[in-house]
Amino acid sequence: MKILLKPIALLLLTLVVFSCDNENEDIPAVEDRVSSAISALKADLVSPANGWRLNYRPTPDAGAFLMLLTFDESGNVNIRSDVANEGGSYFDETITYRIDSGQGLELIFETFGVFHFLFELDQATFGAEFEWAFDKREGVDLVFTSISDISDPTVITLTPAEPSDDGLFSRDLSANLNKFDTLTGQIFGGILPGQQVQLTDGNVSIFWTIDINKRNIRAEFAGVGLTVTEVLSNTISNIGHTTGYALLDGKIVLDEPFTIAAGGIQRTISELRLDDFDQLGPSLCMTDPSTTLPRYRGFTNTLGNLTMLNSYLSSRGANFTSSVYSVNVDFLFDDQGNALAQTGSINDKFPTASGFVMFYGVQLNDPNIPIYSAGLIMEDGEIYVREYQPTITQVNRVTITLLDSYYYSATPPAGTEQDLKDITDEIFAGGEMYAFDEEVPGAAVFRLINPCNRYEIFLVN
Amino acid sequence: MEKRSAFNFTKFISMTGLFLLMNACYPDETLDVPTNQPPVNLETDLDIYIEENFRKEFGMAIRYRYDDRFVRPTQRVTPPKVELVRPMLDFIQNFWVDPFLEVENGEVYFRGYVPAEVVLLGGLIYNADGTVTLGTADAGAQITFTNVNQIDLNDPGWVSLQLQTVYHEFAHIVHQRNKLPTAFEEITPSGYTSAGSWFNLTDVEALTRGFVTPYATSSPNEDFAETVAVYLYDTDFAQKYLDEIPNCTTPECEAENLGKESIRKKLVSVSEHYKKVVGIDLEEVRTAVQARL
Repeated sequence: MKILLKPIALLLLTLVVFSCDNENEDIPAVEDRVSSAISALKADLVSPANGWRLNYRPTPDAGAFLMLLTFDESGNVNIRSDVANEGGSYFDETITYRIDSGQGLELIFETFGVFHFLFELDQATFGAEFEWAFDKREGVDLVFTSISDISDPTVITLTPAEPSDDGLFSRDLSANLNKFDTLTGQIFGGILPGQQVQLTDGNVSIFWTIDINKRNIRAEFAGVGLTVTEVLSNTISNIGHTTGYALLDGKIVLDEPFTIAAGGIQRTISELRLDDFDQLGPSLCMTDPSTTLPRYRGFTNTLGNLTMLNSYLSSRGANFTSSVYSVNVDFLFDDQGNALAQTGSINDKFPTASGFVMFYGVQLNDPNIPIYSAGLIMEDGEIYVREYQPTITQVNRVTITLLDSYYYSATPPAGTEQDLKDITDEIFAGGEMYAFDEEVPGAAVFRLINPCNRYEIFLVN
Repeated sequence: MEKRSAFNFTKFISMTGLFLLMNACYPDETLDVPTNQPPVNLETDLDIYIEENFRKEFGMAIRYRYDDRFVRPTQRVTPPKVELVRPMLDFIQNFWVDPFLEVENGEVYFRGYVPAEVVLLGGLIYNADGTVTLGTADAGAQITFTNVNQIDLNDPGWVSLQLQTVYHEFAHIVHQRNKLPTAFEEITPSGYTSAGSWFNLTDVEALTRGFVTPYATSSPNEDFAETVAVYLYDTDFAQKYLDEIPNCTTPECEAENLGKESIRKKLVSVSEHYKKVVGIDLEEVRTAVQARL
């Protein structure tokens, strides 16, 4: 062993002396290699004459967003899109980009633009992105993978754009669809809008929930008739189909077409052309003759002419069935989002009310309490309710016809009956409510919207 | 002896050889290559403005281009809209920088305590646990302004968020360098909440304990910073936190007055501390701030 140590040491020294020869001088330093790689990617990004086309799908459940990106040498990228939010500022904007070298080359959109707008949806849980790892060149395309996705990262492919691609944007359609995102509740973030698509040639209506920001549709059911009353008086045909969509050339193009079977027809819908928009849609309140809501007219590829309207009729609240519902009195809101118990009529007439209760077809231990009644629970535990006609939930629609019949668990102060009448008349004005499920862990919570005065009540089962 | 000598020689050569092998090639190659830092681009008017008015003037870098090193890996944030950066800088200049510069000794204090880095974010900070962070600072070295994209000087909610954040974080630097005022934490020793429970308190409950906000109950350091921040920006500070309610007849009213008495002591303590350690009169700063609101 001792004999071997000296030769090994001398061998190491020899290796050191001769290890750095001139052959390695042509390998550039790491900074140079990084700089070259960044320059090469930047050269690729700025090279297409018409920029890049991207069909951006942030998550597998989302629809697609058409974007055209044009990079310049100075670190600016012009992005054109069909995202109509923020007054159309994302239709054509220029922000800055940067190419970093981290684990590999990274493309960062470093000031706020359409990618960031999508990223922030739903408190930044939607799943859109604005940081990309460069993956590979694939022919003339550039492929990037999302950095910010924890799992199942989004992969995007930039394809050289054609001059005609700019004509594919459906910006009017995008902006007009955004106008349907109203009447959706004001409290706690609201709810997704519902739409009724009247297939006028076939006398059939489709009802769906549309997520206009994420571009997906959940087709819920179809029925015969063009009005809600007609549809509810006939048999309803469930659909239960969810699909993303894109806006292309004036059409809603579904990723996954679906089939309806109603009114003796069975057809598959894959796209809807929408080209005639106005604000002459009928009110969602049966007793209101006004016509000021969004209305889109067009045609489907298989079912002829159509009219698209807002609707509250939705299977999202179909589980609002017979039970006892109650809530803290602070959870009743007027059309401005003010709590009735804070600044409204409940505060004025029943300042000591602590809760709201709705008995919906349930017989309680006390047989004197009308099984269909609604009213207030007072701080001292007494109950003051007003009776309404027996009813049922039709899909998610509840008809409330109030009666002049009252129940008090104890003799109330003078004037209580008139006050209770006034308040229940106010809350249930128009005589109809639409129920929507609220996602609350461990509790069955419903949002009831009055289509006539846009009051909202939250009820816990 | 000879054995030791031969052994030493071999070991020396071997270790030297190994050391040289590990360090021999590419002497220019270093491991501290900047990998994720935005290049300083002075080609835009905005970047030149920042360079001249903030970095050179105060040694304060303004970060408005997204860089993931400005936040924790679990936090989801966005950068601001570029066209809103200059209005935000004007807001910072008007409501944070200038009020301190115009009071006696304020310029020396501001230049000496200003953080090295100010980060602007477009929206709020969304955390992995579902919570939202409104503003943050890092040991006096960095202050982060959130929600820049919603800038609206006519929105009291937005203005108070920004001012409370910056005055609060700037106040932290004072106690970090100079400790808290003597016996500050003994003014309301039983009012502090256990870790992570401050948000169970209402504003009124905090007040009756002698604190300007529920968050102030989380620790003496936060109490100090909150007292300074709310004092500087809240127009109705005296009425809300100092002035006794006359003719109290209920326990709630008396509790509120007791709380206000404690806040008065805290304000005296904080104000004297500022005069002593940084040489400025907080009341003068408040007057300068209020003149701008």
